[in-house]
Amino acid sequence: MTHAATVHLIDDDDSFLRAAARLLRASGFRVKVYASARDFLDDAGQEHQGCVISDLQMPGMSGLELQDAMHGKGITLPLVFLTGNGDIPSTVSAMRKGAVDFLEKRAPKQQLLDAVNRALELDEKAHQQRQHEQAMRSRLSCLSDREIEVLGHVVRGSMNKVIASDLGIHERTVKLHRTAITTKLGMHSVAELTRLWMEVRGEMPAGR
Amino acid sequence: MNWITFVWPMVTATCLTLALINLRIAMGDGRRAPHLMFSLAACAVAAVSVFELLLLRTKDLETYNVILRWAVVPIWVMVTAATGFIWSFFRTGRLSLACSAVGLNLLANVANIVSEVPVVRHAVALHQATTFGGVEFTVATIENGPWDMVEILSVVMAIAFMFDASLQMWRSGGRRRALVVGGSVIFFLLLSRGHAMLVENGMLEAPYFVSFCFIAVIIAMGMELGNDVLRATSLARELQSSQRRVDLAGQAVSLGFWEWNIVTGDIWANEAARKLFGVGKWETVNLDRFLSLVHEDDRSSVAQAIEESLQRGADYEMEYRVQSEDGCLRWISARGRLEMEQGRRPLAMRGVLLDVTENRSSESELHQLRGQLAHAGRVSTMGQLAAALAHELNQPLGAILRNAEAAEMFLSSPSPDMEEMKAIIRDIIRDNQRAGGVIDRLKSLLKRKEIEPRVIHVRELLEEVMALIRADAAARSVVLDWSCADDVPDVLGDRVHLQQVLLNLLINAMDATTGATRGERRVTVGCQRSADGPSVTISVCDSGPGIPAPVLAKIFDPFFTTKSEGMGMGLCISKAIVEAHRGKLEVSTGPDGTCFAFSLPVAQSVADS
Repeated sequence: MTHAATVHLIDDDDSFLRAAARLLRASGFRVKVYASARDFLDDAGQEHQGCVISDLQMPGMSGLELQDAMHGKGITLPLVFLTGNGDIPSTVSAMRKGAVDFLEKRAPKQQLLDAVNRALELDEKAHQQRQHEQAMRSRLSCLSDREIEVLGHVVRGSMNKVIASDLGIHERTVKLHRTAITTKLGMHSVAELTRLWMEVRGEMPAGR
Repeated sequence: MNWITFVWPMVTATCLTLALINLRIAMGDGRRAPHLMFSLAACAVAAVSVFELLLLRTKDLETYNVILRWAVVPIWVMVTAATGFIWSFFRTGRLSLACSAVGLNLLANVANIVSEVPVVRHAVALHQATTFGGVEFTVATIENGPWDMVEILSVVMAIAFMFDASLQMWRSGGRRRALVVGGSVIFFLLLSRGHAMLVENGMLEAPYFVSFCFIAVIIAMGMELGNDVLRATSLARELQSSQRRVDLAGQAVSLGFWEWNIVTGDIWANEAARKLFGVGKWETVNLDRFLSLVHEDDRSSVAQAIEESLQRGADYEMEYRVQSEDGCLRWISARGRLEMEQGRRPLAMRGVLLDVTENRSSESELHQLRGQLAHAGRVSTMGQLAAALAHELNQPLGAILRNAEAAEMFLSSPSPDMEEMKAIIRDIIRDNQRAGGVIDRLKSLLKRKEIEPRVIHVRELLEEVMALIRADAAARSVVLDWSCADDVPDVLGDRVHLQQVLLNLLINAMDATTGATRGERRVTVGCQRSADGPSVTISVCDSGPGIPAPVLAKIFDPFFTTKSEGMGMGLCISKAIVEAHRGKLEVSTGPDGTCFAFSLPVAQSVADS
């Protein structure tokens, strides 16, 4: 892990919270404990990386309510539920809304650790994806408006001649723009440029 | 042809017509005496009219006297019929007076007929006179005989009777009737008599118009009768429409109407009722037939209910089963009202009956659902308990596991943190205690709190429980037999808890018979004095396959069950309750079935009996 991934542990049962934290720390994870869902949400100001392990049945805000609250606040940390006695409707609801796993509190250590690892992996992937997108976006932002326009046409597969006539400029100017683009972005093939465009813009440029 | 020859026959004809009409009515059923009297009176007036015409036309004295002599006959009939009419129409007045008047009149007139010289009146001379339109008629000089006063007296008595009767009628509210009928009869009688006397005494030269007076009376009487007929017709119409309404209502709900004539024994029943009982449309039904149609289980109760109603004079109300014509059992709800004679002898019972099978089946369904709900409730409370339990236990157990795993991992490192280890061990111990506490709480929950012993009538207790379980048993086609020995004394115990025990044993017993074929599902409940000691033994036996030995050993253990649902607490709790009652819950089993029996202490005050 290149960055500090934290396992956020939420449980109203003091003893279980302590014991689980011990186990996870002993397994090499960085753990933060919260006695209630609200405490965790209040603390979620900065960019968190990691995952959330939460009890289901808690006074105040329940585990499922926490899940909804996280969606509402845009906290995308993967969620693993632990429960003293799970009932099927809760399980289905939790999984539907995107929990990574649903475990009994007395589940064997390995199951718990596997779930945590999976959750952290998911978080890592998501994080990398975000970073990649961010990079792409910033790269595109170094292009001028005109250059972006030209790029749009290039990505659509138009020939320089056509681009020139569309934009009302010289073909020679188009070639100059293209050179600038490839230099700034460090990409040469149209395929790469297209991929970049799609990743950042999410859709092909509007046609004629 | 002159008006005399025209008018008198018209009077005759009118009277005869009215007489015939009313004779026809009089021959119909019901109270028709007034119509008969009226008819007679009308006939008499018709005859009088004929006689009068003859008198007016006779020029011969001999003939005149013959006619005059016999004229008293229709007159007497007229007076008698008028008196009779007042008597039967008004139903008031002194009968003795009426009879004397009529009798006296009869006497005088008979005397007049049979005597050589008419004793009341006879003509001595005739002469012709003229009246309107120049018409000639005969006038006679009348000489009254010694019995004339008798005749007059009888008429006066008749008038007195009518007056008295009319007065009574007036007083009792029938004013119009009194005035119209009574008044007109009296008035016209007086008028005709007065006129006749005037003519006879030569003071007036006019034809007799007795018939005219009388027809006026007839018309008055006729009007009154006519009103009655009209009223009867409109009542009949109302009755018809009311009958139609009742029929419609009856049809809509298939209401059966019945009427039991207690005196003759016959029972009338309408079509709906007959259909319900599967009795033919024209078949005669009496009480025995009816009882034979009632389901044998309910027969004695129905007979008893009828008997009670007859004795107490109270309304009859009963529900019973009947095998209907399509072979299925139907529940009937019946109500009846007694008609008594002067409050003593029952004359008839009239009532309705209704097919309430649907109600019943939904009632029994409801009952069954309630039972199931209660049952489920009991199980779900246990279920809820189990869920809460699981949660309560999983917390500390989960924590212990995690701690132990953590400890294991620490220990595998070269230098484990001893402080941390100590903390882990401490936590494990604490969690273990926590879990133990949860178990303890459960145990205390299962232990019955103080039993409130009251005196309980065992038969009543069993009846209540049977009532609760009956629908369930019926639904499962389990035959439920129960009996209680006569000498079973009252016991000391907690009613609610004992009911629980019985319900538990009964439900288990019914479950045990589930595998058996329909006819062999039997649960028997018995209660009797115990052989040993002052106690009562209640047993619940089933016809199931028996309990195998390994299961038998654990049957009373908590959380032990062979069923897919249920917590396995029933027998454990039942045992605890019985033991709290200082009794014992025992089981004996074999391939033919299982019996659970428990004893309860006899209530102290009867322990010595």
